[in-house]
Amino acid sequence: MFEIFIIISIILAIILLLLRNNTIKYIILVLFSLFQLVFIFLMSRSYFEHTQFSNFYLILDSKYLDKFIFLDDFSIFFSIITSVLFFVSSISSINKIIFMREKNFSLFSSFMILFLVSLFGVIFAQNLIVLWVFIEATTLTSSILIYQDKTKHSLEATWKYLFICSIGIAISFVGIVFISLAFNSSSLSFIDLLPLKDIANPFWLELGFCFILIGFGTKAGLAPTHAWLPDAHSEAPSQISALLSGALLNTALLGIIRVLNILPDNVKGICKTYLLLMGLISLFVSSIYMSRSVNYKRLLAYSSIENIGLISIGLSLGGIAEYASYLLMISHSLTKSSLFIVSGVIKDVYHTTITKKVNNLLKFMPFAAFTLILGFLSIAGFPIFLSFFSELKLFYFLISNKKWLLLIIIVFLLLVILFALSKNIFNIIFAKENEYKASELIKVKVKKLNIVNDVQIASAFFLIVLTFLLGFYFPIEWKNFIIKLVSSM
Amino acid sequence: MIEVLLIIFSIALLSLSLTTMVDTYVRNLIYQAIILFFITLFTHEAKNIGTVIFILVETIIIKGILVPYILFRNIKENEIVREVQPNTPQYLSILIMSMILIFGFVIAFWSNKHIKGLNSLQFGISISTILAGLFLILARKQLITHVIGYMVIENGTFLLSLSVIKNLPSLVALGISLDILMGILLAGILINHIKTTFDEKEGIDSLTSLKD
Repeated sequence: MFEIFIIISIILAIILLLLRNNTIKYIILVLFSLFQLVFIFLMSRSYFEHTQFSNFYLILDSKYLDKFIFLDDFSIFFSIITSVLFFVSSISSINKIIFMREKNFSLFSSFMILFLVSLFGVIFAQNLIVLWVFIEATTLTSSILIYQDKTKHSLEATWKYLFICSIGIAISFVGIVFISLAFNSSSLSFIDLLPLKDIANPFWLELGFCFILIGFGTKAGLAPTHAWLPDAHSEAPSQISALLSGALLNTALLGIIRVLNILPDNVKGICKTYLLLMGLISLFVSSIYMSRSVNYKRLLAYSSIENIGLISIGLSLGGIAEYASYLLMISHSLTKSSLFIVSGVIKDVYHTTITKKVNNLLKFMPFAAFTLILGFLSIAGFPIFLSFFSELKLFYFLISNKKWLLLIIIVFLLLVILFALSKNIFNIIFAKENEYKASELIKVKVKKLNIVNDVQIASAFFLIVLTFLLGFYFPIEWKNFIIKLVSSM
Repeated sequence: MIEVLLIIFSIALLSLSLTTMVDTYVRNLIYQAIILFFITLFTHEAKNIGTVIFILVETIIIKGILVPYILFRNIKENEIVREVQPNTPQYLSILIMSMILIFGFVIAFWSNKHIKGLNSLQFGISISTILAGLFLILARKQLITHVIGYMVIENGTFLLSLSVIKNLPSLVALGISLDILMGILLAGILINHIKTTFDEKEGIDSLTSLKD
């Protein structure tokens, strides 16, 4: 099944490179995104039917490729998030039909498909080195996607992204070698390594984990190696920012989770402390930069760093906090993607990413303003949204375990971030236009881009409504599934 | 035999710090690839014709021919001759590179005592290769030199994985090499664009338009 998926996507990517008409390419892209959604749905259903007795499932029945690819609970969880986000962001790339030249749109749509394939490669990888290969592949494919506006800024952002991430991933390879040294086993597959974890050498395991944390942490956007993230997120097309923030960061975090899973308990404690430290630094750094940010796309990018920091704090604490961080992963991916899509619409209409120059959104585009407010409420963790419950669970864990200092630090930093976010977003939505009086022009622009914008905002709205509904009613089977993720760690 | 090759490899590393001519760096990468080919040939356990061809593709063709070809073409198109104003003075960079090599030998001695079943000299030299690549990136300003530094780091990880991971499946090894090749190719294209968009005389210092 999976090899058919890969073959179809690569053939489609080549066809998209050859086609001329933008509308046809867009339709093919949307059909492909629908296809992959159905594919992931079918695959997860067959996974749940086949795995009553074991907790993993080999996708292919071939002798050779089974060494590289498999399905387990983690891959199901991450692949569902990725596939939903890809569906929405490919629908919302409708504005590229108008704005992009034919050649560029070919490259854009074809590399979007290749990016998805490499993301799935990371998620389904069964072997530590295969995972490494696919993470490097995500860097390569997405760097082409980031360099689509062909401006000076996007060029610089792409260079930084490609170079910093490649170095980070090269460093994580050293970590993988050290882990292989610790296990002293010929295979690096997770299934083979798990039974050996108690006889592995703890020194090399710890050292290897540190290298992997820095390497994959670079990709996941954990401070202090986050330097590429605000640049790349702010300069990429908004659909790509949505995918990067919602899918790529989580996927890189999956690499760290996979390595944590194969560590024995005596090493896991100290390694989780490192993860906690990086999460706290991320919160701190993002709170500082958000409070002085002047660019709304950069603001959203720093908010991604904050959320990834919060997620890794939750992962490092374990128990309910870990459950909370999986919930936060879902809610952050959906919300941040929709916010980035809305920010792309704003950028198309106002032609700027400076927060001060964007005023009075409520008057010009009420639907976009409404979606933006809902997105803000969700990212800020207001009640009924899923993020509220996840943060509540994190605080509950901290209080019940009497970690007062950590609680105070996290709450304080979150308040600073909330202040910065609300200041900027309320400015965009409500402030009267002061210096930038181009309202007539904007009205014309809104009228001209009517259908395109409506489709984009509707797709963003769909994601927000999804988080709202999930906060309202979270199915019990899903809850049990996530609890299984936690206990398997 | 491997020990001799490793010593030659470390001399190649040292010579990276001696010059500021960019094409000398690329030639150095070719020498490194040739040495890596022979080291791989001698360490690999299974010696049939298939593995030899595979190692040949992995080291000589990708690391020794394709990557230097991309880099040379890039240097020619952009008329980069030498490194402008290195961040560190010449004598200091030689000193630092020697310190890195000494550190590698210390690691080799230490690992000889403490880790069993490992070619300790290779382990130490590979660690110092990775550090040398990082040093090259930190100390030089031209973007093309940064790419060369990245390539040196990749050579180091290759050597490291060779000394530790046994029986790496060939498909995976090919995946790693292809990733690196594509990365270098993309970096080359980006450098061309940067050259036309930015005034790329100052190297990395011109890339400062994005900040808070």
